[in-house]
Amino acid sequence: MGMRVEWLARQRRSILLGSFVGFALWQGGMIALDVAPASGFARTAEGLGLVVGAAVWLISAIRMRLWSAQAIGPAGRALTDELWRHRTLLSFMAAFLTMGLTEAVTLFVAIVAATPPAAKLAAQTAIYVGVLTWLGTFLYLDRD
Amino acid sequence: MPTDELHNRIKDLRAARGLTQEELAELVAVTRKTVNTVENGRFIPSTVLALRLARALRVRVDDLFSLTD
Repeated sequence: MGMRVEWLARQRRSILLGSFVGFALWQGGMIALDVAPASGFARTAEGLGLVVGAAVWLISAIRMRLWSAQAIGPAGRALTDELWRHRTLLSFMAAFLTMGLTEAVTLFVAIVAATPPAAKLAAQTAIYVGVLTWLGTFLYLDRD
Repeated sequence: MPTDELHNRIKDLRAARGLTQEELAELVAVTRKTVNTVENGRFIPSTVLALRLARALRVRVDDLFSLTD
């Protein structure tokens, strides 16, 4: 079982890395298109990043589904051991902190500029930052 | 959750029993990474995991973990 657990742990890391890159490109492209609608090459690059990112994210989501079907029983319990739970908790804490900070900055900018906050963009950005912080923090902690 | 206060002898006792980190991890139902981080003092295990490690290595918990003076 030991070798299988290690293989599944490596697979999980690779899937999470794919999710991180895919989500960054996909949702980053969406936000970029909303914030700064470019033209010409920049627009093509934004669109390409968005499509490639969405494809990578989708592939990662499918891989995670297949992975979950294999990570069951004793192997599944080992893969969600206390170190994993500890690192997951730290990653969630970091994600909620950065989401809160993003919202605070958005509100501050809106107050300083005396304009109503762009609610959709603020929510989209907070979720973007939160998801990437969660994945990034977990991958950083899990690098050993 | 690293600490300089807690010292452990997992590496020595594991080697004495001829176990790899992966084999010890399998005995206590965790990943090799968890054994590695505990062994290197970078993660403090729960009481349950400490007891499982002690049982797997056939020693008492206080033979495995001690506070540095």
